[in-house]
Amino acid sequence: MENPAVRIQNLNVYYGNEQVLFNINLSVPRNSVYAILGPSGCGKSTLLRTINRLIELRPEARVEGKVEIMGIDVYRELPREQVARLAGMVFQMPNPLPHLSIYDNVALGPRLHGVAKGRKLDEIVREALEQAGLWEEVKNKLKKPATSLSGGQQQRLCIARALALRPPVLLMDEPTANLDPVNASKIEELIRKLSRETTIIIVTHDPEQAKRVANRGAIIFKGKIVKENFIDTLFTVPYHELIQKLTMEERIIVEALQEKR
Amino acid sequence: MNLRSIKNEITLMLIALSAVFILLAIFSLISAPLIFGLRVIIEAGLPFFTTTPAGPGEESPGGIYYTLIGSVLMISLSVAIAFPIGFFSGVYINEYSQTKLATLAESASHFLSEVPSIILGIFIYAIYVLATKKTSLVAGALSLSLAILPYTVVQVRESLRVIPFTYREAAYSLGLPRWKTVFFVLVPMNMRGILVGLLSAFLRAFSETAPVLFTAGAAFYGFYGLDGPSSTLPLLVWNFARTPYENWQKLAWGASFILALVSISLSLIIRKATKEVRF
Repeated sequence: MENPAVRIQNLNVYYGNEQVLFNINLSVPRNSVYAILGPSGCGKSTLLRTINRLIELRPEARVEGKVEIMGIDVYRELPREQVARLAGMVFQMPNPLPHLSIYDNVALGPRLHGVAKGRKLDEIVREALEQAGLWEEVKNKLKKPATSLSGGQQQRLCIARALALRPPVLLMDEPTANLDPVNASKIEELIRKLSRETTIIIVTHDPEQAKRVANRGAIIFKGKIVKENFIDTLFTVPYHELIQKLTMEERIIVEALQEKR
Repeated sequence: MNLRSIKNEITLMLIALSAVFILLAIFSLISAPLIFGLRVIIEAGLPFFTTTPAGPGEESPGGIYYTLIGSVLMISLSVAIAFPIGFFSGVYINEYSQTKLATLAESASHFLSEVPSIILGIFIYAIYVLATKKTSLVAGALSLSLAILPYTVVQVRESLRVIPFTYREAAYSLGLPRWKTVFFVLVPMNMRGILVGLLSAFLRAFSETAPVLFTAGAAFYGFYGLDGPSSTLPLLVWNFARTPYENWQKLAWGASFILALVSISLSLIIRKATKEVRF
């Protein structure tokens, strides 16, 4: 693939002595939506957090291999703080900072990176809120605390916060898992719209959602990529059957190993 | 009625009795200074707060003016010394909990909280009072600050620890360096917890008696500067309650009233504020 937005090469991740990701290789094309699928605990959130070095919050984590965003090696060519300008992140729980206003939540990134002040900052905040489809709902109460918004609005505020630094890549960790269907579909619509200008990597455990929003995807099982392809061809075997089969095989292998002992 | 149910009844009664006993003990403990003390203050009126103790055996008890000044100054000074140190140690212990230094600092702080507070007083007496050759307000404040330091550390660390991990991730994902995450995001997020810590430090310093016994001096009749002897309310109670003079005993009761009232109200405020912390 020529000039992918994100390229991961020979990635191995450990928590202490336990290996959680095994030799991951994948490339995410620019301005598309890439889905990472897998059952709980398979390592998909860890993979996402490896891309923007958020994993370094866990002191026991160790990363081997290479992650490039827009051709830049994020572990070797950038200080950790600057990675935020290449990749924004949205989390499973809407987590606007509760002590800050709607405006300040969005302005936090640009302010801290010294991107803009005053009028220019107002503009950036407005643009980010517009992109997140929230501007019309909050334009008259920008000074209100972020927690005064509903859950769905809070999640879109978090998207605006991530977009305010204008990163080329947006990482989303099950962004609709805590939302009702109406708000979830709003977010999905937003993802499709944003992908015209931004590369989005979304972690999800819902294959239907992946089919609705993504162009390409990978299925991860026990820290390994088991399938990687265009989204239409990714599900030649239905997802749940695949996971069931893999779980069964895993059990047989484990039992066989135990019998050997 | 069989034996088993009799046993059951008796046990239940004993449990209820001990609960009642504790309630009575606490009630009489609090009500004595409140009732006797309040009566003294009402009788003495405003002069109780604006004059010095009267002579022994006189009609009126006199007042606690210089002790109030000494208390306020000494407590504020001790909090001003202990709180910043406790704050930064609390932050360090929480943020770098994996490091040896943090583990060590935590055990040290825990150990400090277990040391009988009279020993803190003796320690400051040995290293400060003996060196300066006199008891002083500063010496009292130093020994008080040792007594309140561990509480501040624990309180600050706890108020950071209870903040859900996801907010830390949010700040980190925006590229905030660790120290900015702590001071611009986590600390303001739980300002209430930190303030409760500050308040508990005041409460602790207000009610500690033993550390100031040898260090603060016993100056009830005047103010002699920061490096001169001073006094606190518990010291006044200790000094005047054990004299045979009725008016001095009254003075001690009045001071006990203020001690009890302030500590009860502060601890109620702290309890209420801590309960409401939610994310």
